[in-house]
Amino acid sequence: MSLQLNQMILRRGVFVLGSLTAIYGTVATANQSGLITATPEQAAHFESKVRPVFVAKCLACHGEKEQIAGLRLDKPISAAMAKKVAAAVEYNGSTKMPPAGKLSAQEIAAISSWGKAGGPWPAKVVNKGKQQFWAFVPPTMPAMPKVKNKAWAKSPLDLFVLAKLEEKGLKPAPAANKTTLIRRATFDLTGLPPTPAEIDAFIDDNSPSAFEKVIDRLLASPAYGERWGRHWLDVARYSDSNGLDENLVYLNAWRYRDWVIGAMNDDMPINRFFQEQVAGDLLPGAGDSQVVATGYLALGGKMLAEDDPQKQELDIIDEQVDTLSKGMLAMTVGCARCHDHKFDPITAKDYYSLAGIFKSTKTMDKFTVVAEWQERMLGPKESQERLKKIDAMVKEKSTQRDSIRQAERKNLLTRLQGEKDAYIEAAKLQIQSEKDRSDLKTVLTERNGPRPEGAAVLEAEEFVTGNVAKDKGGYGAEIGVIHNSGMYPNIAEYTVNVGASGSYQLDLRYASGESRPIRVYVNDELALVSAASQSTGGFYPQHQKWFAEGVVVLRQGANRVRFERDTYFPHIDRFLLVPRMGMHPTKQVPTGLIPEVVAKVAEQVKSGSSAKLELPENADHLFTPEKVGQLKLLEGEIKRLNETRPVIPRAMAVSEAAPKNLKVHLRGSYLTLGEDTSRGVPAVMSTKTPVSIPSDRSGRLELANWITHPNNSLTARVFVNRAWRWKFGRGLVASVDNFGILGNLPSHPELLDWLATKFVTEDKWSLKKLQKRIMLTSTYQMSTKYEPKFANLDPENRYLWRFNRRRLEAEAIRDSIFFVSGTLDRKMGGTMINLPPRAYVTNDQSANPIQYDSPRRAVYLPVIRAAVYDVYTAFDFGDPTVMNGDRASTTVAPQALFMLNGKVVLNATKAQADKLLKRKDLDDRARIQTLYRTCFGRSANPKELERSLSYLAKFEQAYAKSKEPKLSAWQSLCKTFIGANEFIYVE
Amino acid sequence: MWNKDQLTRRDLLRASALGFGNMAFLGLLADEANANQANNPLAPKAPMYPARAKRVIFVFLHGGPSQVDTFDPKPLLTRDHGKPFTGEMPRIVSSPTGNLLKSPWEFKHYGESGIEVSDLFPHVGGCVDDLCFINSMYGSNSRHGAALLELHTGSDTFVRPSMGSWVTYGLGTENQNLPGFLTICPTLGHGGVNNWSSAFLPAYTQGTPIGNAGIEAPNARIPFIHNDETPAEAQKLEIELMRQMGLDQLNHLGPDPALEGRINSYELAFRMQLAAPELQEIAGESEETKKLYGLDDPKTRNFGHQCLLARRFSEKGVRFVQVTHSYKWDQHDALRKDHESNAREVDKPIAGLIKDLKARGMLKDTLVIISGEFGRTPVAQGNDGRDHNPHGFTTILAGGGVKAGIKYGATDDYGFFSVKDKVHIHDLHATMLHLLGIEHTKLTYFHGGRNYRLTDVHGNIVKGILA
Repeated sequence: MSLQLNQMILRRGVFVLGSLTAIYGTVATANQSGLITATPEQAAHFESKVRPVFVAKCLACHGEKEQIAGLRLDKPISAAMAKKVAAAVEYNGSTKMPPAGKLSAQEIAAISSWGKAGGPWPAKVVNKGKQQFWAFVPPTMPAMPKVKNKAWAKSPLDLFVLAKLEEKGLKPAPAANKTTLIRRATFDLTGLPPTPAEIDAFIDDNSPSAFEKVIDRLLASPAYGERWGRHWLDVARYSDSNGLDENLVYLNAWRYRDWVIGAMNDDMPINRFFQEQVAGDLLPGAGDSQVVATGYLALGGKMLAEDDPQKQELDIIDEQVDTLSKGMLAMTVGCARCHDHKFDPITAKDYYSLAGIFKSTKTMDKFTVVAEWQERMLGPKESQERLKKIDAMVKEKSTQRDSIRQAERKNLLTRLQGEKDAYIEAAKLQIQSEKDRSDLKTVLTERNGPRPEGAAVLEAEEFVTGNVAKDKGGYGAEIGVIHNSGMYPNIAEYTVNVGASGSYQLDLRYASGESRPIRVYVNDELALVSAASQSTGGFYPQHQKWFAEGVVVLRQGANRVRFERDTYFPHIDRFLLVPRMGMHPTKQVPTGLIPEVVAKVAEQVKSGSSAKLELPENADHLFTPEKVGQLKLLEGEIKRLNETRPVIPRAMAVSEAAPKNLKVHLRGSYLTLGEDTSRGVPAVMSTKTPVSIPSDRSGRLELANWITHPNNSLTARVFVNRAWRWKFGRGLVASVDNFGILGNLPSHPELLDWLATKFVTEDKWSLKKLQKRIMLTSTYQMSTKYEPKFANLDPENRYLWRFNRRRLEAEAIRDSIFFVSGTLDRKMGGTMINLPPRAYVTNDQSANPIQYDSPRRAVYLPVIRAAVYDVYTAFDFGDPTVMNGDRASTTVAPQALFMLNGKVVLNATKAQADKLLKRKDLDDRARIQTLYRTCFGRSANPKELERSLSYLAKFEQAYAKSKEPKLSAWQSLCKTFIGANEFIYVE
Repeated sequence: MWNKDQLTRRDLLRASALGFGNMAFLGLLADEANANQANNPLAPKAPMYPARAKRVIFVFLHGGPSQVDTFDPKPLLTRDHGKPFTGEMPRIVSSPTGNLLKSPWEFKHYGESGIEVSDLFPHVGGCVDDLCFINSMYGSNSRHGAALLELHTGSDTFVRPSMGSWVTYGLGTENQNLPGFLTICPTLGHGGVNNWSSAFLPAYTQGTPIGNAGIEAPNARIPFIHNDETPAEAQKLEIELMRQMGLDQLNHLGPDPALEGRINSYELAFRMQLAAPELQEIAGESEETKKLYGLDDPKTRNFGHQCLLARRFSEKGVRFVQVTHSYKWDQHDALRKDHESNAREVDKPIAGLIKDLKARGMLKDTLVIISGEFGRTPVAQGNDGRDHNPHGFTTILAGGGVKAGIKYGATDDYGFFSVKDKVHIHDLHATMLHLLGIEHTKLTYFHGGRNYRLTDVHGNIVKGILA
């Protein structure tokens, strides 16, 4: 059991320590500086029970930043000082620490026994002692073990397994039969079941190479890349959206996914596979494909709405360090962000050396809210050049346009200065008219109401001339509104007939999330300068409200009423004019003055500040006709240029940034900086493969080369162990993502080293060769046969006395359901997301707009963080924000609910039943046999055949009155096959 | 004792010992018997020490309700209205703000305790003697997404297990026909699922959503709980056939707890699909009760329905239930109008929940937590709005071993920063676990190279509020 070994290591150190007296019983003598070095037991106790308390509760005042009372608890302290610390935490003397409140009894016991023993401090761990930890020693070719049962071993791999079995008193299970074997291999390599024809062909092939032929066929199938690519995508925390806070779509992430699938199918050597992901863009001859590969570094979840951009950048770097070090090296380097790693010989300095490489790498375009990640251009250089040229021309034209505009605005403003007094006068008039208006009451409170005598009510969409847009959907659902068309000024003009001339009150019903005042003209005379000027809290029908806007003068018969605004328009639903005979019309701005300028002056007057003439944001319409013409011309050219922009494919990818070293960030915060570091890799892992990074480069290329160096003690071991995990359900090192001291020890260390060495030296990092090396063995070909005696000795089958029975993963379950029902679409690659770039895929009220009902293979379904496909969620797909090489396999009720009620199951089984019934060449018995062979890869025995038949009969009878009793019965039978254990467990 | 591998091993041994054979098909065994079923990680576990609360109802007010307008009256804010804030502003802010803005609402003293509550919450005001107001809450992040994650999981940076998942992991659940952790109409934004996710904890601790914020509470459903095509009787036939197929296979293969567990899971699923919709059917509640939650008023009907469901599920033994008033409280402007409207929607349902729990004798061992992800600034944004403020806000607790009718801690004179008896979100989590009988430093899970906890390396129990 992995756990036991794991705990044995700990037992020596941390958990099963016995009493504190036993640890601190003999007080060591202090060295000359008064410091005591801890024994291994003391060091373990210190690291597990004392240091964490210091870090959590003491270092803020007694650490790198501050040393109140001259005490610093992140470095060794003298025996005398340690005793004072003991007294302080006991709350006995005058100094009581921590001041915020007493520590827990256990914490006090731990610290006080440590302090009273003189504060024994662990010796520095880096490069000493722990360097000899197995994972940091490069693998070497082990000697072949001696075994008794030589006949069983087909390969050296079997010798290692058998030696362990014999040592533990276990015996290997008999070989699996051929039907089991082909089902196992087909699911393993393609994630799909074998077809009856494939099974028959294998059974009929009596040559010694029959199984090898099956493996070769499966490895050559495109489905292989879809299956094994998906395994790596777990490690790469692949997703099509950001998740975390702002859940924006990663519209181009799929290119990386397709690159992974392609690399697997092409059997790209794994060293190259890693190099391209870390530094593809920097490799000699790099093209689009290599740029796409660096998506690996870019795909992490990011807090895009973080008010602290420095923290945001460091969090993104941290995510990269963590994902890469766990994924390729199975080292939890991320643990050293806040302090030296508690257990592994990785220091905070190591962390920031590595982090410096990513600080010198560009992942983001901008860090301010909402932050934007970088997307690099792909495709022919000419198109990219053309785009750049067009962009340059657009920029040139825009500059011209802006300078004309600026000059003209300046002229205009100078001219207006002469009329300042008139403007102030007009502003006062406007304020008065607003006051008048506030005395008015709206005629209606609801959208519809009793219409007063003589009133005219018009729907806003019924304008006679105009250019505003009409909307009867979202903004105008059930009511119909007009809104911004993008053509400025926005105009809507109406014909209003009234029975008598005189004063009329104008009421508008509108919604607007901000103030968007419009001008109202009556018979071409400006009647109101600033109607519809309120914010109603939003733009939707629920935000619609009536407002009384003012009093205008209409003549008997037809009048032209025009609404106008130079930019965005409020969402007007309808308006009303009601006679107010005898009332004074709302006082208006004298003609000749610019209404927007008046409005601004009015604001200033109201707030009591001195009046200053300001032009509206868009004042183009106020310029001379000549300038207006020039501007229009330029705008036209810009628009035309933009229309010729080539569509350039883009990839989420990284690139080089200005190289920069990081200082150690104490407690992980950039506000408390420590010593300098230089970009590099963890010291303990690089004694044999030192890395030096030129000052003018990020170091990514050097990092990639170091990771894939044949002498790197971890990379090949970690990868072959992952492959083993994906084939057997458990790694030789069970903690596949952690080869550190708290990880598990290998169950078969020599086998792991043998595989890793062969993988690098003989197979040249070929995963397909590794697949065959593992599969053409007695170990892989064992049955799952249960043996009580062995089950008692090794209940978790750690030593492989039989093959592990395994439940299919979420994708394989879903794909198999489609596959056996004959509805799986085998089209490869591309995206299924139809959204604008960086669109939100979730908001507070709705699930993402992603459809999952496609019959394509699951690997192509979008992976939406924070709203993962519910079928995935039910079957342990896990959280795609975090890398994971070891998916769980749970059995919970929601899975059963999916099998009973899920749309996928209902639709597929209906199709399956329908197809079976249409097979007129088959009788019911033959149909049942087909079902057995398709779903379980075997024939039914007579008892099973009879049971299925009687089920059909019983079902049909019970539901005789339903629409299609026979189809229902067959569908129900198909459901039981898909729901059966035999369907989703592979022997 | 809280290690994943150990649990697995123990379960393995137990499961092999008991086996499936003695379970009658669809024999709706007593909950207790089900609960003790061996191969079941959701079986109730004893707390580490005697618990004051057996279950939690978390009422989440999404968007950031303003403390100074609700439960944290500030006379000086009223006095200095319109003047600049002279203290030091937070290092990080979301938006530019202006001068101090007094609360547009009056505060009144309520109950024996005389605690002041604003006119926004008259019904909650009527319950003050059963409530504990922590006025000194603070968190670390000023954005909704990060702050939601922090409140729900303890981390504002990474995806971590939700508090409901931790509680389910630590205590299991009492009703084996229902999930242990339910979240009713949760928000899908600002982290969505991450707020009820089990992250690296075992999948059975994942929160089960009932609908989402876009669905009216009466129409919300558990995923896959129902299909229109298959009658229950037909499902019984299917499950029985699958059981026979499974048993045959097991006879042939030898014992396997995973296969046995899966056969049983169909029966559990079948019971769940009967039990859950039945619990969601509130027709049997008295008119009085419905009124208590405001179901007779269109303004309060939706949230009242959520609160009533929370009570019903809690009553039936669901360990952790969350209800969400989704993303409505974010008043950067239109504070007067929108806070008024939001408070109208939740005031009566919340008070109804407290009164109903009390009347049923459930309040004493149910911990109710009412909170937003942060509060709002006492300084104005525009002239009728307030910005986000994680530096000081109010969380209300009730029941489950918490002192009633008290205020705990305080913000400064203007309600900006928590200053007295400060309670960080980590401290709230530590206290919640404590009340449930779990020592927060001991509920750990080994993952990615180290032991994780809900409170990470932080958290102090707020002793001053323990009854």
